[in-house]
Amino acid sequence: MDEPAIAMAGVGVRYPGNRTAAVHDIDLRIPAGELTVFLGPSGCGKSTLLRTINRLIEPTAGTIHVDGTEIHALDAVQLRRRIGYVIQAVGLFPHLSIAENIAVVPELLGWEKPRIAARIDELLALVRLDPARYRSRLPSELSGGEQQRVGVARALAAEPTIILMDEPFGAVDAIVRGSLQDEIARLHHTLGTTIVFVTHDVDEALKLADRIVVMDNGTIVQADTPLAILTQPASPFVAQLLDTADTVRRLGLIGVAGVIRAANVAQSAITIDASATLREALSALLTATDRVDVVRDGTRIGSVGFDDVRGALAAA
Amino acid sequence: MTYLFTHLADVATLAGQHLALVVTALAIALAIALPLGIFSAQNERLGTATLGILGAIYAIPSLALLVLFVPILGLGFWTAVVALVAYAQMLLVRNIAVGLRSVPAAQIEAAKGMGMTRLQRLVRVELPYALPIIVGGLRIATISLIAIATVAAFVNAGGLGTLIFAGIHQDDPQRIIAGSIGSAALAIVADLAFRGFERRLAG
Repeated sequence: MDEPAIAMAGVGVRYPGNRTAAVHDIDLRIPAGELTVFLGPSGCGKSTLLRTINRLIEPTAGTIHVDGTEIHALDAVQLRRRIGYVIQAVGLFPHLSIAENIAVVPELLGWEKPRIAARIDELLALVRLDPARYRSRLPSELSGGEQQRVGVARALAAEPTIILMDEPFGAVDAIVRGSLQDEIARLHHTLGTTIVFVTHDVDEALKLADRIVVMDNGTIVQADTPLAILTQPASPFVAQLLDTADTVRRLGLIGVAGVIRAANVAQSAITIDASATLREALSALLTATDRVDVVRDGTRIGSVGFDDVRGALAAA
Repeated sequence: MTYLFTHLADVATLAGQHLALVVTALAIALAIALPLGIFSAQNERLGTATLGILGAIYAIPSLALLVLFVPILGLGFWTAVVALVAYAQMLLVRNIAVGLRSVPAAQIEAAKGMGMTRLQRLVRVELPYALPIIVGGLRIATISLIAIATVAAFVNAGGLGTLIFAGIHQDDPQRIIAGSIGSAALAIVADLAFRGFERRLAG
């Protein structure tokens, strides 16, 4: 059996002087390499739970294992250097250049200078900031979106196997947020890092998550794949939070590939790519007659119609 | 202003003594104020108490404070230094504590989350952030000490105050003017130098 990257058993957090626990009875296994989203309304305890993983908050009950080791068997400082951490407010150090900000954890770990310098350039390129232009700038000279890219690069610096992100894109505007989400999806795809991502934005959760952990009042109410949660919400709360009645939202999670009817003759002037979702297929269908053609690498491989979309929805 | 020009070398010697007094006092004061300021920033209640005591010392008239140390330390340079150090504490500790408390929570959170120890956070994040405010405190303390150090001549510690006291005793306004202009010039130069430094820190 694969060892989970993070395993929580009976985890609870009770702040001194508070009668109710901020987080309680958390049992959760986060598989290595997955992007798990903690989703819930503000005050549900999702950030608190995230911060127990790198011991910024000490759990008052239960155990947490990271890569098989109970986190209290490690020094908190050593533990944090192994785990990337990105916060909404970014928290770049204003007196340090972009390069120096990214270098913080590698320096703490005692990496050699040439290795750090090479890593800085590699990371800036990875988050799509030209190293030559950005290396020696100060954080104050960057836009909010650029700062958060540096925040992500800084979290990735020491090649952590786990990254924690606490509402990382909550403070940037919608367009920048969309492109940052795409970046995270791409980075997660290429690096295979385990990511735990906290958000209250349902669309962000559906877009990024391999698995969504829905939280309410300090505990987990459902943990499953986005599609499973949308099709089988565990409670009226989950159904309401994710607006599971919105079938178009559900279609956005199903790929068109599974419902293509093979045909080598053109059926429609309108085409979509084989990597599209059924939501995109539906959108194209609404502008077409009754079928759209599916194209892979420039070749028609089949077509999709309203009935296929409807059938896939019923099957999901 | 004739005395100033006819006795330029004498005035320069006294200005040198004046500066030595102030620089020595500032160095010692900073060494004491840094830990006190860090400690005051970390603990709200003890910080308030510390600043209360230092404020009370600051409120003692300078001449009285100087004379207070004479029975213990006698007359001379070090008596004046001790008094000046006591004076500077209030200004330095307050600015160090205020500077450290002004570090944004996000930076502290990020520093902790990246695995910095308490000391690394202080040295790499909090003190650099607070530096402009700390330097501002140092500037005000320097100017204050240059002014107060003129009184040090009263306990035989030398400096430009010597001219002022001599002028008062001998009813010689020229010496009073020379001493006053000398210490004012020192204060203005110190102010400009620190402001230049602060501007460079602000980037």
